[in-house]
Amino acid sequence: MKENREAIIQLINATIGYGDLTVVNHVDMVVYQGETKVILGPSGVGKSTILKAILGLIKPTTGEIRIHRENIVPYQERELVRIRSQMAMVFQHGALFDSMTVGENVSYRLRELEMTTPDKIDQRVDEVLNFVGLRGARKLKPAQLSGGMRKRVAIARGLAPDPEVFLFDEPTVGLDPINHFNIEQLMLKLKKTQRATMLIVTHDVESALRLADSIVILHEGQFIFDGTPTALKENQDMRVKAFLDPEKFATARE
Amino acid sequence: MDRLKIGLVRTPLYYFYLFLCELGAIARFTGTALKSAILPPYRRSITRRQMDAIGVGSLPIVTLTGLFMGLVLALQSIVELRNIGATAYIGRAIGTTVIRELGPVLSSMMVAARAGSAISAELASMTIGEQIDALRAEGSDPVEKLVEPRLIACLIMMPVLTLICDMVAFIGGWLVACTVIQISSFFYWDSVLEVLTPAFVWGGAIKALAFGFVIGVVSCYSGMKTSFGSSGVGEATTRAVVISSISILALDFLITKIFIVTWW
Ligand SMILES: Nc1ncnc2c1ncn2[C@@H]1O[C@H](COP(=O)(O)OP(=O)(O)O)[C@@H](O)[C@H]1O
Ligand SMILES: [Mg+2]
Repeated sequence: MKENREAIIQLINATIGYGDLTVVNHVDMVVYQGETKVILGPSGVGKSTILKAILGLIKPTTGEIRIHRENIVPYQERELVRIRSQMAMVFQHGALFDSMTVGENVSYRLRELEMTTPDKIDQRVDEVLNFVGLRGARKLKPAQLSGGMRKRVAIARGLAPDPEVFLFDEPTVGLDPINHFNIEQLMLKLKKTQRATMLIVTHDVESALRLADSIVILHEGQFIFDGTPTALKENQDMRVKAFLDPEKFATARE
Repeated sequence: MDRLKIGLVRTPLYYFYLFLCELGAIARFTGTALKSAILPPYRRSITRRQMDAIGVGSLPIVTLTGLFMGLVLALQSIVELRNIGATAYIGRAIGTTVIRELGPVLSSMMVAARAGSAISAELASMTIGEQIDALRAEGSDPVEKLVEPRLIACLIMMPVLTLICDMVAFIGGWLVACTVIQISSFFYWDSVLEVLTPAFVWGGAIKALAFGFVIGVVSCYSGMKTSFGSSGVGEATTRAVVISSISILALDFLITKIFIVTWW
């Protein structure tokens, strides 16, 4: 069935790193149209690095990264801008522009690419801030927001231009339970109402199982699992089990 | 290239190779920044805000620098000129030194310390907070958005600040000249104006422009090349000030040499 769906993001034999440091080594991955895919893995394993490569912020040293079947690896910045305009990235800590208000942050891409009229932009900002439950925050500066609010503004900024693809970097990590719940609900809502293609990076297993249509696990530069949440629970690979339930694994080894 | 790198690891040649790579990176950065500054679109409102921050913000410190420079220079000149019985030439002595050398050099060192450090700290914290990545992800060019307005502001404000610094230094010199050796005000200013020839004034202005360019490029580059971690901002700031200051002194030597050969 999957084979009939269009592949939106493809990593083909991709090796990605920084200078002499190789972070992920010859990996393959596909995200299909309308799918929510989660990349699971411990901190520092290279999850953010993969997202940055998909955006073309860093270049892989081998292999291809295809967005809508276009290999973006040889692309110059100008062509990458076109590719990026189909995607929204929600950075780990929000990465809001400190010098701008919440409203200016949210409307940034709409204003820059002159996608529509100022009136419509205003309306859209209200709409998406409403969607993330931050109706009154428009005039605030990022410095005045809590961590959870920053992340929600970042989601609103991603949402505003109505992109086809969402990349989330650790959307719920480090939040209090209430914000954790809120943001997860928000993503479920996105999944239902926008039918967006989403690639979510996290080390939160529970959250991944709730959100994902399909999951990959990154371990020492390789994907050691690629499949559905159900398949993940039944997987017998020791490394996978160790990641899912470190406590049990630790006692079993003793 | 990789094999070359591996073969050379930890030999002096390897560090020389790294140094060349860094120089290449700075040259490329300078190229893109210049191109962006020269070609439209121009970010007028951001540039104006940066001119305010860099120019108006550095005004007090540059004024103070000019004042004390003028005072000290006058005192020192008097000691020397007395020996040869030429205290009447104090205006000339101060005029040439300030306009050709000390004005541009000292005021740009002050701007490097105050505005250059602020620029690199701001860009470094944006780099660490992934705001630069976010800017690119949102489809903007960080060089055009962040570097260009700061570079243009440095280029415009440095000559202006230098001019102000020079003026204040002349006034400082005048205060000392009037009180210590009771030279007439008219005579002092007349001899100062005498050395304000186009060649000297242009020389000072070109130095200021060049130093402003150095401050802009070095501070922006240092901020955007920040390594991650909490010490990143501090390191970027220190690096920006040290490299700008040394580059200013070295460039000063070079420009002086060129002017002496060609014009002065
Ligand atoms: N800009 C960078 N320069 C050099 N190394 C980096 C950079 N960003 C991340 N790394 C390194 O790459 C590895 C993977 O980092 P990252 O992708 O951020 O991991 P994750 O998102 O899974 O926590 C880490 O070892 C990290 O130290
Ligand atoms: Mg990460």
